[in-house]
Amino acid sequence: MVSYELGQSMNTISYRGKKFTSSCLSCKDFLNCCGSSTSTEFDGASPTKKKVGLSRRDFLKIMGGVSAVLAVAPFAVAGQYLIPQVPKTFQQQLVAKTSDIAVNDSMFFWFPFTTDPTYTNILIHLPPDLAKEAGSEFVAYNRTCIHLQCLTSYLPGAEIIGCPCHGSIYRPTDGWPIGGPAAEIGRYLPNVTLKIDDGNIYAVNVNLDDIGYGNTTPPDW
Amino acid sequence: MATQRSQTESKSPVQLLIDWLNQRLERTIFLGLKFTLPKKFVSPLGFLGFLTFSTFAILGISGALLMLYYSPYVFFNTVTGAVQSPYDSVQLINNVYPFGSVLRNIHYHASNAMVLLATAHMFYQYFSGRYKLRYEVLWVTGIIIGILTIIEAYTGYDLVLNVRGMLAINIGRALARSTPFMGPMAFRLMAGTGLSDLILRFYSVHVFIFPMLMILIMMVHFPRYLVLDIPVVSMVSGVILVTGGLFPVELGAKFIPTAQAGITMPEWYLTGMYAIIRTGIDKFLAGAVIPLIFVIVFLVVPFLDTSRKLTIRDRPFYTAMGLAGLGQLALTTVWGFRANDIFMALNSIPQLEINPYIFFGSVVFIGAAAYGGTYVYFKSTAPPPGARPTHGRKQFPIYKLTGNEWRAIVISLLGFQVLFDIYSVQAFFSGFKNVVLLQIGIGLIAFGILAHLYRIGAE
Repeated sequence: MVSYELGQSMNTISYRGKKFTSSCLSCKDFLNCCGSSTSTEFDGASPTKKKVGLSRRDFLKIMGGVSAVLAVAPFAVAGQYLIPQVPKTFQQQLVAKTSDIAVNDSMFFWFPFTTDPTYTNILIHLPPDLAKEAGSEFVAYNRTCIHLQCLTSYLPGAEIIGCPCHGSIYRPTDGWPIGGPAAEIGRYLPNVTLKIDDGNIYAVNVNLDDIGYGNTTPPDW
Repeated sequence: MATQRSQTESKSPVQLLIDWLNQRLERTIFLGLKFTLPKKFVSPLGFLGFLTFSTFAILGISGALLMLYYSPYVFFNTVTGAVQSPYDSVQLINNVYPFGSVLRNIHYHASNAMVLLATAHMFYQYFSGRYKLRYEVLWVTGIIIGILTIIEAYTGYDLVLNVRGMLAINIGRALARSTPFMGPMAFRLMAGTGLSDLILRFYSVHVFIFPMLMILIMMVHFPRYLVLDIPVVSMVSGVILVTGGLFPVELGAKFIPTAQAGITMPEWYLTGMYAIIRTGIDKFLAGAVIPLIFVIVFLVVPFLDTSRKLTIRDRPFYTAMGLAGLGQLALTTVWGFRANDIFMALNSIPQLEINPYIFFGSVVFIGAAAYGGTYVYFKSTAPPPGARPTHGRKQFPIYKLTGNEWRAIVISLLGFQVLFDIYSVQAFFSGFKNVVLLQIGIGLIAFGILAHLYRIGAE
């Protein structure tokens, strides 16, 4: 009776109380290799080659495993395919003329892309007191609420930026959330960097990773 | 097969063909699964899994047909604010293409049925103790398919891109972005660079990636013996269609970024999560960590409960855990639809925010009540020591139909089906879309009854 043991050493065969490793089976002179030996562990394929450290079979197993890993390793960069890279800087875009937009009024504009409503922004012409506080007459924010990504608007009556979904409100001077669920998150509404040149307002940059999430630093108007 | 004939009897050509096919199919994986066609009524609770799979098959067929006209492209007109979106194609399917509304209703209601049946299947197997004692792989794969089913349903209703879908997309995107450390990456992975990207990604996940994954995992999840109960399967299909006829799925309002959004609800299997998010606690905690804890508890239960006991009374701790989970699921699901005060309807924005202390207090209370109730109930109703357990089932008197009654019922059912087939075709050409659904559904139920009569009568 030859019984196969599913013990800790793989391919160990016990026969009449003696244990043989699988390497014994690959030995041509079976009896001289293992049959006369009572040792439970037997390294190497033949008695003339003792203490080689690693049997050929184990060596091949390890190398085969390494080879398989190496074969699929280049696919690690496939993540680049799944996660599209977005640019950090954009071509500046003419939004409006300073004369187009009345005091305490606002307008929507798409920047930097036109593929998603979260790329819509509000340009606000702040009233004088707020403009003094903000340090700029014109400010622009991304519209996406940092709470659950609804689209905010400037409410000229209350002079705040408000979200229609869950009632979050933001300060128009720096985009800091002052009420509603966004206030508990406590990050600035991402601002759009503006450039005013010869009466033209250009949108220069916005941090795409902050859209719908919030900015940790206040805008530098 | 139900009609096994003896070797000596001469076989009909049909039987010969079936035999020929059977022998050849033995070379395939198909006959590795043993299908049992029950010869009498057995409780559908035992094969809820196969019923879930039948709805999966219905979803596959109806979904493949819907794909013919669905268009995933989103385009924004930056000047007028108008949107060209998948909603337009769904609207065409719903209103213009013949039979489109029927297919969409089947697809929608079958998805609800699948989530419902899968949940029922899970809890039935849980309370029967069929998650341990070599059922571990079946259980764990089942939980994974369950999660995939929910995500599959979520991506599905977003594809319409109505206001409701957009709310779900926004919450999903906000959740992905709030992932610690890899937020921007998770967000881009899900959303790409815009709504068109996102819809395409959801579409690819919804129609191919997840269904394929589900089929692959099902190959491991399927037990060796399957119960193919044709009457019940056709009844369930009929009920799906009848529900579609009575409560046709709405198209919803088209999502337009410039339009003011009112209060919209996610689908019922997500309102639980929605309620947690509405408490205002950290988004990632609310939308990912807490639901994940719930899932993980059920995922590891076979490795915690390693006793050999199976009845609910013998394992009060895990029975109570199941009840607690069921109760918490019900509470959070209902609360998702309701105001901060669960006894009030939700109709204004300030009521959206739920008080986290009351909410989580109630969730914990439900858990405690389940444990307390279970232990008290089992203790108070415990059989006296030494008493033999009684497994006897009540025998109901069965009314035996006479031959004439058989014929009358079967023929009237057939007549019924003929009538409803004619009605449904007539309704189809008259443009009564819901009536078509209702009548096809009733016809399927009639077939289910007939198939049941056939199997009990053929004995």
